[in-house]
Amino acid sequence: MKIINVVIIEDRPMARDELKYLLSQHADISVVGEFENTETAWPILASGTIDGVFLDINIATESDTAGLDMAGKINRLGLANPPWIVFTTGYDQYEEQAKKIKHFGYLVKPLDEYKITPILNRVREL
Amino acid sequence: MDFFEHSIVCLWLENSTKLSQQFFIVVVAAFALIRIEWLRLALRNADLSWQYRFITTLVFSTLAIFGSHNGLSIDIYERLETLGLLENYPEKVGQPPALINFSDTITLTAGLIGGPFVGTCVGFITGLESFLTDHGDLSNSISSLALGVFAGIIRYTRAAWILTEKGVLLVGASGTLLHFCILLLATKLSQDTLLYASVVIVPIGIVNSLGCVLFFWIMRDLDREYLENAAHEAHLMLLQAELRTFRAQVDPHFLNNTLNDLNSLIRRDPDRAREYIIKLADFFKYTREFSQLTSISLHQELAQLKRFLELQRLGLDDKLQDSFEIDEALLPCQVLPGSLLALVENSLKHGFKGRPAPYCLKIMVKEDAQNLILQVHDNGHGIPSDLINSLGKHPVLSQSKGGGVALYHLVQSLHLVFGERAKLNYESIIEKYTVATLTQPKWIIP
Repeated sequence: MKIINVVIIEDRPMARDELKYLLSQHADISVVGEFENTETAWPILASGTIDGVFLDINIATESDTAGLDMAGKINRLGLANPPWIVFTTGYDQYEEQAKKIKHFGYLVKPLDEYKITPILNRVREL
Repeated sequence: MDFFEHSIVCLWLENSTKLSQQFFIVVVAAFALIRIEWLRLALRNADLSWQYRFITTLVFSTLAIFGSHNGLSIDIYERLETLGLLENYPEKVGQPPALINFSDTITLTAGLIGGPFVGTCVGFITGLESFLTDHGDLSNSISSLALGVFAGIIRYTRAAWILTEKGVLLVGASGTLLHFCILLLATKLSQDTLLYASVVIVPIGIVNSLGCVLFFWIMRDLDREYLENAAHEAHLMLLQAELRTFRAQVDPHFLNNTLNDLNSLIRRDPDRAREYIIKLADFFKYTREFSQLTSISLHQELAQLKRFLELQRLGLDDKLQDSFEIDEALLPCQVLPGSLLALVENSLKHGFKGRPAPYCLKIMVKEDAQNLILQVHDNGHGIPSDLINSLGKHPVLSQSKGGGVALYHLVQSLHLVFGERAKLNYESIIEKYTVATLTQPKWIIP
């Protein structure tokens, strides 16, 4: 079984915890980092060792679109194996903006296994 | 004509003044009478229903009859003799002392205010009364009836004329002329009548014209007052309804975030989740209840605010640091439902957006002479000086700046409940702090 290393970026502790729990139900997913803002998550993402990231868009301590900005930055790094990006957000108002940025999925919170499992199945096919 | 020497002018002036004095008693009486609600209603709507027409007729008939018995009694010959004018009038016939009065004025006014029916009835009743009591002098009665009909017809056919002082003045003057034409025709232009007419026509004309204008002013005032009150009341009701609806609203993002957090908490700590679900239910229950009230105690407002902050902390954790500094003696004071909450929400929503934690909120309540002062301090972005003075004064600001609607509603409610003395001020230093200060009269429900 191939282990998939992911990072969670989410400013609300409860939401972070919930996502971690949902991912823990999948044996091949390993959460190697959880961050409450994009700034602290940047070094590990830039290192190119991460397979994927669950990225919140609206980060209260940074900006309404911190997640979108982060995704753009990751794409511009030009890594050999760039991490796939799944946006997680409480609002669907960012969907149009998100379309302009290369990403793998767009999930609207609250999250549950019915939203997470199909995404992970697609990830496994990569 | 010798008649128009200055002496007769003196006589006119003297009588005009005297008659006016008497007439003003009636004006004052009328002014007092229309403070009676149903009477005011009847006068304003005399052209709408028979009941109101009847009342209006009754009121004006009484006034007119009162007028016809309270005038100036002048012995024309004696007066003319005193002034040395009698030689101009050789034929002295036995004419009783003339009574000049203001019943014409009332009859004209009745027609102008009440329309043809009221005018005719008042003219008829006054004429009949004067016929029965005044030695059967028919000409006075006929002119009385004619004036009532005349004013009523003017009101009915030329309503626009009598919407201005000039028009009303003209009706008063023409009414006087009409009266004397009838009088002269009835007496076949006798010297006596001519003499009588020349002495009294000016005083009566002045009182008729001015009197009609005075009544016109009274009625206009009545209408204006009524319209203003009605408009004001309608406006207030609408505003109150709007504000109630606004207060009953809870920020949907807040509900959304809280439910997401609870979803997570249920798995991790079901007991604590239950507590928070109760808190959320309570928060909504009180939001709904308070939205129907004009004011609640500071104690109630603080309890609601604490519920809100606890629910916020569910998501923000230790990023949110709040402290309270409350003068306990002020807890029974009345505040607007959701007033402190609106200030705190505004800080959380706009003060801290994209700003590193911790978010410090300090809620202070103190007093100053007659005023209750509610303050919310935050260590957020601060508010630019160009924006700070317009906060709460306009309903909507550009979306990026935000904070417009809630604060505007808050200020509107404040003014509605506590008057213009209540105010909301903001003080801020960019990237350091913002202080919202709500000042309102200190008010405790006994």
